[in-house]
Amino acid sequence: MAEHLSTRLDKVLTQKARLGIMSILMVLEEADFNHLKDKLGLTDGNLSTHLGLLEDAKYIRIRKTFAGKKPKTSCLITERGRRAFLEHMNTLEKIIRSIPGA
Amino acid sequence: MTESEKQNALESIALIKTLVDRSHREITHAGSGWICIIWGLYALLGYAGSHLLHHWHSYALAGWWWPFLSLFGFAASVLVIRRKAATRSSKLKGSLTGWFMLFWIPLILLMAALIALCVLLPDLPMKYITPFVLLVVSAGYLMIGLMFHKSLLVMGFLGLAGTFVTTVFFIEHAGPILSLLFGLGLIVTGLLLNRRR
Repeated sequence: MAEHLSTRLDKVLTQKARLGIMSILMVLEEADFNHLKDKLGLTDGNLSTHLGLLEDAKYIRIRKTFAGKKPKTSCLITERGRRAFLEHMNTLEKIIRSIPGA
Repeated sequence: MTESEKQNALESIALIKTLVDRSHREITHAGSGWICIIWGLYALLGYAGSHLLHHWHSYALAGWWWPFLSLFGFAASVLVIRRKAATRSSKLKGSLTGWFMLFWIPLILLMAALIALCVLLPDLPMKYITPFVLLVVSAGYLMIGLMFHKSLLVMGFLGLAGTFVTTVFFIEHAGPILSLLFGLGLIVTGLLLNRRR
């Protein structure tokens, strides 16, 4: 049963930085690149890599616009991302409940 | 299941909880700290400036002091919203604009009440003007607080209680007491909101 549970965890979301990005987007729905960088304490390159992986999984959508002359990157959570996050959290809770005394 | 996997699950849930709570708090209080500080300074500078200008017999300037400060407060609030909203989500932008609007509704109520006061009670002694103004503003915050924000409800309640006590016991010094009470109250609230982020 326990073995089965750990295999049900979403591979994309097992990484803490990606889980952090998705946690923020679950509440805000949309967040600016700098906001995520600031909240998660990641470097530009690191954050870009994680966002790329989340985008490949179709969990987020990346929108590039201009605020005046400055380029602005916004990340939006998709319905698929929302479902994956909830499922992942559900599995995590089941794993924790399976711990004796937790 | 290994111990490290269990530990990992616990850490992941803790991370989710922290970030979700922080984001919720941010939505609720986005920019409100600075908006409180701006209007707190408005109350303090407004009273002090108007008092000094009267003391120096610059009555025309004293008449323009509050409208000038209102414009300054308005511009500063818009600046806070623009700067915050430029880098954050549309949800935060909505929350910021909401806060800004909530601050203005009582002031609009106040303007209506002041016009009514001038028409209906033109001979009201000066010492009653500040308590009257703050009673109206506090009642406005209380009404809005009941509908939208708990913090505004507390502000409205404290405002009404403070104004009532000052009017009954210290009416001769109502101006400075109430300006200090409201001004410092808003500044302290703003600093606390900023620290909670």
